[in-house]
Amino acid sequence: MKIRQLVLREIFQRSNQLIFSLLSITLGIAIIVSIKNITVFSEKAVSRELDSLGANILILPKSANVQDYYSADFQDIEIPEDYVNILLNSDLKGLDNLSPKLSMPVEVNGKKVILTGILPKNEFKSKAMWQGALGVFSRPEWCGTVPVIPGLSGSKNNIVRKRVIDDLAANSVLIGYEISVSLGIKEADFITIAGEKFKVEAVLPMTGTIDDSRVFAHLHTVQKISGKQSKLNVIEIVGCCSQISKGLVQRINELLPNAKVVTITQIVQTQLNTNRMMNKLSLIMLIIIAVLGIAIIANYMSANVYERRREIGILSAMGATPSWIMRVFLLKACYIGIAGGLLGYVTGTVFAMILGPMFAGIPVLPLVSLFFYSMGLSIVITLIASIFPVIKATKIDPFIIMQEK
Amino acid sequence: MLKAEKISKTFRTKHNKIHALSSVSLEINKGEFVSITGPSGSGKSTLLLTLGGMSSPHSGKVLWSGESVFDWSNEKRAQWRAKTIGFVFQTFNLVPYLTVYENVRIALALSGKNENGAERVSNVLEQLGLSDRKDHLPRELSVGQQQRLALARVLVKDPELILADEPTGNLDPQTASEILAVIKNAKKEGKTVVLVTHDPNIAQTADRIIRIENGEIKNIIERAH
Repeated sequence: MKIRQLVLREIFQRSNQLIFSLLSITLGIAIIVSIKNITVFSEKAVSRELDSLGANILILPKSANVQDYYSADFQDIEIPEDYVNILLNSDLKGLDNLSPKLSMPVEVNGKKVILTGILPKNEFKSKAMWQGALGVFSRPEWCGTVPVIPGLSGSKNNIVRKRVIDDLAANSVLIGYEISVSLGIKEADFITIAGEKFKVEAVLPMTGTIDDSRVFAHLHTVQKISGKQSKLNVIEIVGCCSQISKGLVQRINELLPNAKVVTITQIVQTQLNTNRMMNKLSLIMLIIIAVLGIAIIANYMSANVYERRREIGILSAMGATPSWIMRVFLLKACYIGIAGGLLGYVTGTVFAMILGPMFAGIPVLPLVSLFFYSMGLSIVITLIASIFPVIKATKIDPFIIMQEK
Repeated sequence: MLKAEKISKTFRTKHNKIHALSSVSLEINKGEFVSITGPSGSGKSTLLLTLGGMSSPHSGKVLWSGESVFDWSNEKRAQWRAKTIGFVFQTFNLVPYLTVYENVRIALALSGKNENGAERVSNVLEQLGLSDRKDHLPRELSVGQQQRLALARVLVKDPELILADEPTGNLDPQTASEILAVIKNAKKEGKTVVLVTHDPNIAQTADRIIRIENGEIKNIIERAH
């Protein structure tokens, strides 16, 4: 007869007593899993909100500065469009929403505005050499991939939030909110820029930035109007903040030595601080619940050892060694840990999927990585909680127990 | 074979100090059937459990083939008990959540004598009339069956020494005599038996009767059978 059989037999024969402790560990793990699950998706939601702060890395011409970028006044200084190729074909990690732009001052209905050329997402798809580049439009996992939330990320908002747009025809434009209001231009209107007629594809939501006074057209259209073929003023990047802290900017600098690479420190700092805060919150919850879980299981195991002291005496009289008795209790702890981890994962995930949208307003999906996390945590908690009761079990004096008649 | 040299054991309570054993010396020879008798609280069970290496005396030694068992590690002493000694108790002390078969099987597993394990267990259950009860839990057995199971658990591992603490104390006369017959049969097969009893009739059946009072050996009666 193996220890495993003995342990399972004891568990099933005394299932009533086990249910309470199993419920406790299951609930503890479920709370950890649901908090962790909601935290992961909250981080992603926060990171989506941080995206709306705009790019945090700018690749500018060597002689340009950040002021030039904000005023869209580059005074005829450019970088080659080929830099986009170089970036996309590099093995750099953490580049997101890469957006090449070329700006020029134009007049619309007698008002001076900035015309900015942008490259829509479908251009990236159409170029064979950029086939593997679509990942730049979604954050890598370590940056917090943002799930698509129906109703939250409409195509109009995309250019504001993610600074990319799926499609933009050569004779279409998007216009900023302020221009729309001041010039009375609406969606589907036609406007004339540099003698060419453009259809207003959309009016962008208000951003409170210089973008409100811009007109966006296809990059290649703007290059053609300005006579600056294959030229750019800036490449905006929403860089993964953890990669920025690991030297992403330095690596871009090495890759593009003739360009100026700058970070918008305030944005990066906000992103880093937010991530740090979320991680700390998650850790605090984990510690509280792990301590609670250990206390509950330790209490159960102590009671179990006390209840089984006579049995320990019997087994000891039959020749069970202290290490054998220790294995019996530790294996039982493992089984409780496995069952608690499994049930806790399922319950916690269901909790998170129900409570996440209800209270945090974020969609939550099951995370497979949390399965392994909850199993490991549950087993570790039950083992730690069992150490002292198990040591106590091996030290029970069978003589005293056998004297009890 | 088994020797106690001036063993003493004292229990302390809040107000008292009880001398359970006071400088007890005795020798048990191979194949011998010894009964230990005396009034309640005289130290009989304490002596038996100390001889079985269950708890160390406060002074003196218990020697097995010349080696002091309490100088061994806990692990070694447990292994010695598993292989060499079979305990039988008045209250049976069966593992409540294991079936009849499993109670016997685990004793065999702990002894390490696993060769033909299933067959050995079946044989001993057959010998003690428990074959038809092998899948029952101890609580589903009569007291007589429970004590037979306790004996089966001992006999299956073929121990050199059987230490029995009032094995018939909870049984009716008929069942008690059946149990005693099994113990005597084990002795006939060459096993050494030390049996604690307060029943003079049962004590009389042993080769030697040791009477204990107040933790001291009062007299030893040798009997010729």
